[in-house]
Amino acid sequence: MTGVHLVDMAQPQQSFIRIVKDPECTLVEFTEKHIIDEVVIRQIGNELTKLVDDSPRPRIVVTFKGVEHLSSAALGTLLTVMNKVKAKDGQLRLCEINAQIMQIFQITKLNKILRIEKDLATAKSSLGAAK
Amino acid sequence: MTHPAQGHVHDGRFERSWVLLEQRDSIEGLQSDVNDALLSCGYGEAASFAIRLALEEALVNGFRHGNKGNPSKHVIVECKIDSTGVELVVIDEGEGFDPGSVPDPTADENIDIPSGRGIMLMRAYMSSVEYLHPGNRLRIFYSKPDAG
Repeated sequence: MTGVHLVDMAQPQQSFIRIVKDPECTLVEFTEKHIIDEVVIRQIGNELTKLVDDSPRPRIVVTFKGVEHLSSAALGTLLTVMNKVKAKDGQLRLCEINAQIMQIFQITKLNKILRIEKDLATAKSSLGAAK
Repeated sequence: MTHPAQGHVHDGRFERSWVLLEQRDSIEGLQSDVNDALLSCGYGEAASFAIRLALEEALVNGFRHGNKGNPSKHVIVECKIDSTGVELVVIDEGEGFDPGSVPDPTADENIDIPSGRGIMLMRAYMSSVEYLHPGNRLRIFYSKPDAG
């Protein structure tokens, strides 16, 4: 893939996300199918926060492909990241969310404040032009 | 009528209790045992998803808020499954709390606050959610959809 490279986070702790940077955005994939363990969620939050902190204007797409379970703590982490992205006038998109997980976003009404797109292509194309 | 032995499915029924410390392996073991029992008792994927979610939220609340993260304190889980539904009782060693004190996380003023959605999710997926006096004993019930 031209212009795409994997970024080694060189974290001492185990990582639970994969990060792919391309010219349009930073793509985040989960390596866990169950995002429910507080230790895992805290580590994911730390890594996502670092991504936001390291970018002057973050453009992040988080794909939930393969994710089968999500807890309220994971929702909280996503909200924290969303608030940090907004504070830097950046953009955050979520995509590839299965029907059961989508129901969690709908019950909590977080689908109204988190920008959720059907698939990766739509999520990427929904990002405004990079400045 | 015979009762199922602890931890075994008998005649579509299951009964077991656990005493847990906040250790991921123990929690995963419990989740796995409950899920296996659900499948053996004829429950489907939707029930499995809902009960895993509710149990996880109940355990996190028990360890985090009830036991205040004290690693030496326990949470007890009692599980009964039969043809009518699934009853889970989750007891922590805390002083209890008033669930009415948790603000509505979907209200405009709270919507972007990261915490406070666990009880809401339990209520959405379970048929009933009750905090029994003094508030450190949670009883949740999931009615089997085709139980009539």
